[in-house]
Amino acid sequence: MTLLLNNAEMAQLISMRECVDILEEAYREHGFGRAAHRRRSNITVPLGEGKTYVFANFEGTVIKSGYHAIRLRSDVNEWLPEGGGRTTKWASRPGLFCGLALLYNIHTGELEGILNDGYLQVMRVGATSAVAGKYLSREDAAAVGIIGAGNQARSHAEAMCAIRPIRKIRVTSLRRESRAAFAREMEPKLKVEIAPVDSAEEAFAGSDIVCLCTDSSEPFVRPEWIEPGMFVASSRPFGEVGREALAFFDIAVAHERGFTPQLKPAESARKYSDAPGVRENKDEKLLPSNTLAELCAGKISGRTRPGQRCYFANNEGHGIQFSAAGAFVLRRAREMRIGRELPTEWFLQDITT
Amino acid sequence: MALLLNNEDVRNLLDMESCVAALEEAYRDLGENQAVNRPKTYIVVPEGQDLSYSYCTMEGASRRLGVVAIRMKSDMNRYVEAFGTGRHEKWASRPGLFCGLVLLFSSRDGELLAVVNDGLIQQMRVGATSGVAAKYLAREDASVLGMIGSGGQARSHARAFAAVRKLKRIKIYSPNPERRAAYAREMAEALGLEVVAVESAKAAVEGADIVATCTNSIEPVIRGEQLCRGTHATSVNANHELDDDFFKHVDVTVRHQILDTKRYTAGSHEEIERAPKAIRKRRVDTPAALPTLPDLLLGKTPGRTQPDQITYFNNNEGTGLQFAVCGALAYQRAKEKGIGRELPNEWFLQDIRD
Repeated sequence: MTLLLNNAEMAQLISMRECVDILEEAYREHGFGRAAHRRRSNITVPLGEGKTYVFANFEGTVIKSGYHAIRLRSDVNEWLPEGGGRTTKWASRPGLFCGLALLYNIHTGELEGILNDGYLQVMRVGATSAVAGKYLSREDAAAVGIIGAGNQARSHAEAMCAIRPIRKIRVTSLRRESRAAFAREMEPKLKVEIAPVDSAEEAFAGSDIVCLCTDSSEPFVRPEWIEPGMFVASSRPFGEVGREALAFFDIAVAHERGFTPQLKPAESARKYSDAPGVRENKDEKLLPSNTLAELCAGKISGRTRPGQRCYFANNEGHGIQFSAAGAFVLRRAREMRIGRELPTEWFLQDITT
Repeated sequence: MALLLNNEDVRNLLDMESCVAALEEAYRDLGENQAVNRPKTYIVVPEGQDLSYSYCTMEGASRRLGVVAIRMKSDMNRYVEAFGTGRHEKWASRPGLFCGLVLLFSSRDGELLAVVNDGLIQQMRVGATSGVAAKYLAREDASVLGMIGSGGQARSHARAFAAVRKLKRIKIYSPNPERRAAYAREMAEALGLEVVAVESAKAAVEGADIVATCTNSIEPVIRGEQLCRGTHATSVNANHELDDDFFKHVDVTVRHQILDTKRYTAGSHEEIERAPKAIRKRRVDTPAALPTLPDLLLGKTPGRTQPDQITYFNNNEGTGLQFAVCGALAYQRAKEKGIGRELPNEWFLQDIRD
C-alpha cells in the first residue's frame, strides 16, 4: 500500500527533537559518502502581470533510511501589493500551496509514500539549523534572538529549545502584531519567556543564539551586532547576511554548496524581467566553503572556544532531509495506522520504460 | 480534480498523428525559448555486487500550453551476463512491473492536473519525435520503411513514420523469428500496410527510404555502407546500434538535443567501484556542433537539400517537454471524454506555506 499523509497526520508522527536527531545522523551519513542527492532545480515560467510560476524539486537518498525522496513544489509567485521586493505564493487559490514529498523504497523501487510537505518542510529547516547549533552554539546557550515571526521563526525557536537550555527568547519582526502573536502562541508551547522587541539590534543584543527567519532580499545584519560567543543561523543566507558581516565570523558553515540550476524560457524571461524570481541571482561567494555534512562527520571542527562567533548558512532544501525524516514518519505512520492507503498498483505498470 | 491515467487510458486518448503535431509545435517553442527543459538526472544507490537502485527524472515546461511535467522512474537494476553479452534487467516491486510516473502540473495556477503511468506515453513521445524529424528529413516520396527491432519503440516508430509519410511497405527484422512475425501481423493490421518480416537487418535496410533502429542491442545492428542513397535513418540507441563508419556515409545529421545527463551515486568510493557498472557505452562520433531538432524546425540548419542525400536523426535522449506536451494532450482529452480516475485536489494541496 502507498500511504498518503497530510500535515495534520504528520504532526502526530514526529517531534522536533526526533527530527533534529534524525537529520544529524543523515548529515553524518552524507559526510561519509553514504548518501546521494541532487540539488534543487527551478523551472521558472513568467506568466505576465507580475506573476511567475515556479516548479522546484530536489531529491536524495540516505542509504541507511532505505528510502529515496523527491520533494516537489508547484506554486505561482506574485509580488505583494505593498512592494518592498516581497512576494506571496499560492497554488489553486490564495492560501493554498502545492508541495509534495514522494518516498520510494530503494530495495523494491515501489512508491510507498506521498506526503504533503508543509509540516515537515517547516520543521526540517529549523531542525537543520539546530543540528548546526549542536556543533556551533555554546552548550550553555540560554538566550535566543529571533528575527522574523512566521513559520520558520516558530520552527527555529522550537528547534533551539530542543538542543540547548533556552530560558529567554527575544523576537522582532516588521509588524508589531505578528511578533506579539508569536510570543502569545510560543510562550506556553515552549515554556520559556518570550519578549517582543522593536528592532533586530535589540534581538541580537545579549543573545547566545540568533535565528534569522525573514524573507529579506537585502542584507541587514550589522557586523557590530555579532557578539563574542554568538551563534547565528540564517535561513535566507543570500539575503540576510551580507559580505561585510560574513567576514566577522570565526567559524562559518553552509548547509550545502553548489548552485541551483535556474531554468527559464529565455524569451519570456527577457520580456517579463521584473516578474518574481526571474532576475534572482545568487552569489555563491556569500556561502561559507565548509558544509554541515563535513561538520557532522567530524571532517571539520565546530566550536572549540566559548568566545568564537559562529555562523550557519541554512541555504536551500536538501533531498536527504526528506529521505531520512520521511522514512521515519512513514514507518511510524504504519505502526500507528495513520494515513490514507492508496493501492500501490496505481503507480506500477507492466510496460517497461 | 486531478486525474490518474493508466496506460489503457492513454491508449484510448492519444493518437500518433496528434502527438507528432503537438511535438512539432513544442520543438518550435523550444527553439524560440518559449519552452524549457531540465536535463535528465539519475540518483544511483548501489545495493550489492550486481544490483542497484536508480531514480531517474526529467522535467519540462511549455509556456504556451501552461503545463509543466516531471517524469520519474524508480527501478531496481541488475546486470546479468547472458549469451556472452551483458544484459540490463530492471523492475519495480517484482520482475515484470515498472514504476514510471508523469506528474503534470498547471503553470497557470500550480495545481496537480494528472498522475500518468508513463509506459505508453514514453513509447509514443520517442516515436513521435522521430516522426517530427522524418517529416523534415525524409524524402517527400518515402514509401518503404526498414525497421530493425520488434518491441514497443519499433511499433511506435512505424506509426510515427506512417503519420508523416505515405508508407506502402514495411520490412521488419528482429533476431527472434516469432517476434518479427508477430510484429508484421500486428502492424499490417494497425496501419493497413504490407508488412514483411525479413531474415536479416541488411534485407530490411535494402531499398528502404526510411530506416529505423529500435533495439536495445549492445552490438551494431546496421552499417552505414548498407544505406541506399536518399535514405533517412533514425536510431534510439546510437551508441550501440551503428557501426564505427556509419557517419562517413551520412550527409546530414540532426540530433534530438545536446546531452547533459548527470548521475549522483551514493556510497563510498569503494562501494561505487564494486557496484554493477552500466554496460560500457561506445561513444559514436557526434561532433559538438551538430544541429538539434529545434534548429531544423526553425530553419537554422537546412536539413535535406537533395533527394539523394542520406540523412540521419539521432533520437539520443528524452526530455521533460515531451511528457509535458503529450501529457497535456492526454489530460485535455481525458477531461473531455470523462476518462481516468478522479483524485481529490485536497490530497495534493495544503495550507502551510514554506
